[in-house]
Amino acid sequence: MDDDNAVKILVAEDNDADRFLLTRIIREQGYPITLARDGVEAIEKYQMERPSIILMDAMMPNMDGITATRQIKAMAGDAMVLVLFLTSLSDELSLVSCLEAGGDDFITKPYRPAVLNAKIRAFGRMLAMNTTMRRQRDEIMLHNERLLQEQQVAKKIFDNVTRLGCLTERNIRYLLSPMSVFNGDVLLASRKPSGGMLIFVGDFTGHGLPAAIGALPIAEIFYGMVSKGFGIENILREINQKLKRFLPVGYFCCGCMAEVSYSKQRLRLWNGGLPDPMLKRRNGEVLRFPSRHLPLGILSPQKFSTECVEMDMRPGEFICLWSDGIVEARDQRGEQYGLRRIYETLSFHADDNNPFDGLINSVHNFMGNGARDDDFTVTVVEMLHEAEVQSETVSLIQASAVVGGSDWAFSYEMFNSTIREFNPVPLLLHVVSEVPGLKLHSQTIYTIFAELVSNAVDHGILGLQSALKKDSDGFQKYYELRAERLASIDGHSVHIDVRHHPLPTGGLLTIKIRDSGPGFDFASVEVNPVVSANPFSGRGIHLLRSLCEKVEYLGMGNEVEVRYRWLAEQMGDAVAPLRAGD
Amino acid sequence: MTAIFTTPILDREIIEELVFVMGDDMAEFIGTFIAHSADLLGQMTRHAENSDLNSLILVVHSFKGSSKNIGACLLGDLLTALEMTLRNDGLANVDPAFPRVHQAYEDVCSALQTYLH
Repeated sequence: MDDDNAVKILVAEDNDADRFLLTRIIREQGYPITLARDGVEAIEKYQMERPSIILMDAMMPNMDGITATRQIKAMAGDAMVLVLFLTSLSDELSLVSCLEAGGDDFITKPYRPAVLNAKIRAFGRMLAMNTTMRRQRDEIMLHNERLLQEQQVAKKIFDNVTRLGCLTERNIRYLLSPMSVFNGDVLLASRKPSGGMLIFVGDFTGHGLPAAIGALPIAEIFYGMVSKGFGIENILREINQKLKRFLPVGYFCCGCMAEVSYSKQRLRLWNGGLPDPMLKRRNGEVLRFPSRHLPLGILSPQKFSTECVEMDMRPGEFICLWSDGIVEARDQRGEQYGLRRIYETLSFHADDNNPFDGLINSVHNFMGNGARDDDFTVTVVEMLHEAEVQSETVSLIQASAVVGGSDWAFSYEMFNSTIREFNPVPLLLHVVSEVPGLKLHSQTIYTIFAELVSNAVDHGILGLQSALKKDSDGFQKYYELRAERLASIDGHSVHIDVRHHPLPTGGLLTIKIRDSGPGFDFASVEVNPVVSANPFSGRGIHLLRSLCEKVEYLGMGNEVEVRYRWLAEQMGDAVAPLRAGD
Repeated sequence: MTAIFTTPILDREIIEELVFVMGDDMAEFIGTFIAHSADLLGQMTRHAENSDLNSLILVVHSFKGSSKNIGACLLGDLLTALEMTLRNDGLANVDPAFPRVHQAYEDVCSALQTYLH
């Protein structure tokens, strides 16, 4: 039945007088009426007219009403057809068969017109209700279809944004449930221009589109800032601030960010509300890092802390991060897998390989047969030797649609408190990376800037000697002295001039940096580059020389100029930094 | 069978409700009943002569229904009894019933004349 107006009544009755009587009684209902004289004719009329109400005499020649009803109900399929059996009281036994054949009601002779009309009105109400229900069902199905379609588009967009990362690198193993974005799970990983890697696992409150929408700015901030060289603290601070501003009260994101530094062989980790990440040592030891912060998006920037746990991490050691899905995975009795089982699984994992497969198998075995919904996010990242990573080539983030200029110069000067509190390298790198094609060199340029700035501040202004850093106690002493002297600097400045000049095959980047310190006798370094014997060895002159075409000290040694000549590469191709002497 | 002799030919309550519901169509309805019932009586005789029990039961059943509907109580009761006899005993004991049915039908026709106008 397509709509209310299409209600038709079929009267199947072999007796002429009764047929006449019925049609006159129900005429007042206003529905069109079709007639049949036996069961065979009733079926024919049903096929032609598709009535939704049938008055069916139980006993008729050729085919009785019970047989006809059974066939009509089978033919009706999804359409609703209501059958009112016309019987005599003597047919009590056959009443049962009438109802079993699909009859919806019956009326006995002699018919009382008021009763007959009341029954037909009741049928009319049932049909109207059925129509409404079907319409609503169809609408819900349509809505559901549209919602699924929208979710697929949203997922596609989200996948495109998150795929910018380096989840495919060989030292990362991960599991992300197929519709994780709608479960509120986020997994991001990106190479730092300085060589390390940042990994973020997030778990939003709520499900569905709100969670997916919240995850998008996190991905944007994460990839944007990592590629510009920002550190873990700045990125966390920015994500927290954005989420605090965007998310309604009661919505937040539990998250854990880990920085794996290949050059320093160290791990830094911030956990705000996720189940304890774990570090699997080579000796079998497993360290847990319980959450020490509130989730992202709750605290104001003033109260938000980016304090990280920091420790050594060696090649062959693994940092494991997860959202609460794996902890809450249940076996068939409803018991949770729990952090204790994760800890034990990692502890018993004997060989040097990535413990990822062992962990996932263990969870699957625990969950038992048929439980393969994998509604959880897990990632395991291995520390690598720096040499291994450098021999690999890295293609960093794709160029922005806005192409920057390539023939320019700028100066940047920082004074006391800025020297103390601000790392200018991401800012400088951001400007330089706007040169078309130069972004692919940002890892090298980051290192050059970082060396130059650290030389100017640590050695030039603070007068620290790298020779101190010969052992771990020395490192400790060095950083204590650094903090002490930095706190009391006054009247100091670092001046940085950057000039980029385009060339047909690429460009020439010139960086000049001058500090307000007393300088040093650079001539002796030029003559005697023996590292161990030279008190200025830590100035990274050799590293700079290996990266740059030219490194020249000027003035009293408190000024240095470097030139970096670069060749343009095809976008997206593997790119190795251009070295002096290449 | 004593009840038969006290049962009225027409149930006044039923026939008057029908007059109210049918209005101008009452005469046509009565005409249809009389003509169709005559046809059914003919079929009954034919099926009895041919010893066609099943067809005979169907016709008696149908006739019984329309009789009750028009309020022909006596005729309806006779046909109910006949249908039961046919279902239980077959064609063995039907001969006395036929003339009574015919007579009851004639009486109903006469009684309905009142409602033709």
